[in-house]
Amino acid sequence: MYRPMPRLFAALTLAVASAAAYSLTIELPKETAQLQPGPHLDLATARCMICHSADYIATQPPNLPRATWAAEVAKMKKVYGAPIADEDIEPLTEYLAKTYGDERGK
Amino acid sequence: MRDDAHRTRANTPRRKFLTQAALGIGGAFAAAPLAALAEDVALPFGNGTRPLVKYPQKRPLLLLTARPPQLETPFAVFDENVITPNDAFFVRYHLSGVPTSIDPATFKLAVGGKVDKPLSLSLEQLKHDFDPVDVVAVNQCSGNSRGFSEPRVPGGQLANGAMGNARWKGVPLKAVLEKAGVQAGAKQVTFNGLDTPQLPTTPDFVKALDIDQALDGEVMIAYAMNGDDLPLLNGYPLRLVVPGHYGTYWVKHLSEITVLDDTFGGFWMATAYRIPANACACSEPGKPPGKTVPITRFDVRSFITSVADGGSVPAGRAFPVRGIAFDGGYGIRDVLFSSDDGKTWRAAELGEDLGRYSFRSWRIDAELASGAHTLKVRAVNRIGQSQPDAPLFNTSGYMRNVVETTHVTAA
Repeated sequence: MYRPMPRLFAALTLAVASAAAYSLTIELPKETAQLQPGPHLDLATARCMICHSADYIATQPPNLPRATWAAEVAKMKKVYGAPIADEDIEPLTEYLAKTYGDERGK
Repeated sequence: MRDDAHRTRANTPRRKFLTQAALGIGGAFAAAPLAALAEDVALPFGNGTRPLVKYPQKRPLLLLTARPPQLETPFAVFDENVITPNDAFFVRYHLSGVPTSIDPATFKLAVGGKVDKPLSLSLEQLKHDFDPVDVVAVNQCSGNSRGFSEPRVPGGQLANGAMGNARWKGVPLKAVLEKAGVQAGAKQVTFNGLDTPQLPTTPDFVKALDIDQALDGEVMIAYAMNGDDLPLLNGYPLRLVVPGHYGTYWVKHLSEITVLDDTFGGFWMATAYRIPANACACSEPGKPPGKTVPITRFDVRSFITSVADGGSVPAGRAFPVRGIAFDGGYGIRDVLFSSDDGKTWRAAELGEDLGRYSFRSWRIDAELASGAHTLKVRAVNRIGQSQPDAPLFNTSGYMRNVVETTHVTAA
């Protein structure tokens, strides 16, 4: 929603904007999404959330098969350099397939 | 400037004054709490519910991901104006190290590599030492509309709102490269921005163009968007504008240009953002895509904007249908409209021509008997390229451009 700017503030804003040499600073909203409960949740939180928010996983198509999730885990390790040990791959895939993939509820 | 971003000049008494003044009128310079608004939007595919969230310098947009930020433009925005407002323009980062504070007084653009004279340009130099140019051009994410892919594919699950059309102002890349003096044997130019990966093992987001394209005079180093500074989340203070080409090349917070005498082998060119090397950029579901090449130009697209799928229109009297069309830079020649599920087509009236890289608006009158109807729109560009009746598939969900279908009820 737009908030109407108070007049005094609008005038001040103009004065500031007309001077070129001011830093532009923003504050990003805090992320609120959390990973859903599932097997190996702690491991998934420790590895997956280093680089991205939980909604990267939560917004994926609802019926991706285990093989697709396994490929995503492998990509994160090999391509994006995530610190995922070899023994982490299976439990992470298990978590993703059972929590977000087509094995949900099975 | 919007009320949720702030500008400060370091180490001056004025900064203190501004801070106090801002606090004195309600803390308007401080970042708003920025929690999700109550409203959610259901995009029309499985698991498509998105919260509308307010980000700095932006109106509420559809939140795809928070870190790194990805925001989609609500589709109704495209019916408001053929130019997409800065505060509604989509946001897409690859790396979570977003530069959230930038001092335009100290910012520098470095130009180096195989050049005679490496440059370090301030914003003032870019704005005053070069003749400015402008262009109205669409920026569209390669994965725009990926959420509609069948079968579904992993990746950012976007509806049709990862696109926008703006008037970009800046300096031709060619002019900057010529000032630096491109050396004989140059093959490619790479572009890097201030955004950084979370881990040193993650490839930095760097893109490359062939030297001929870099010197074509159309690629621009933009410092303004629709008459204002770029919003921070759209690349303040500089971004590359590559008209007619997917957004992956439009590097934000552009800080480093390097001329190479080789083909750049970085991840974001050699592995990511690649399409099947065939005329349809398509492949069989469930099979590997075969030989691939970097994605380049937009294909042809068109949309109805005045009524959404599932919407209502008046029955028994003429009513206007509006929309937009665009392509990779040849320009739109015709927009064809059907109100009988594609059995018959009529040419729509095209709106003002803002250039061959811009959205082209269109309109047509329709009159429908009461009941359910299926509307379709198809554009043709000036070299005869058009849109497929059925969607083409590729494993990355790139370049969707099927003829769009809008179901309506006339009542």
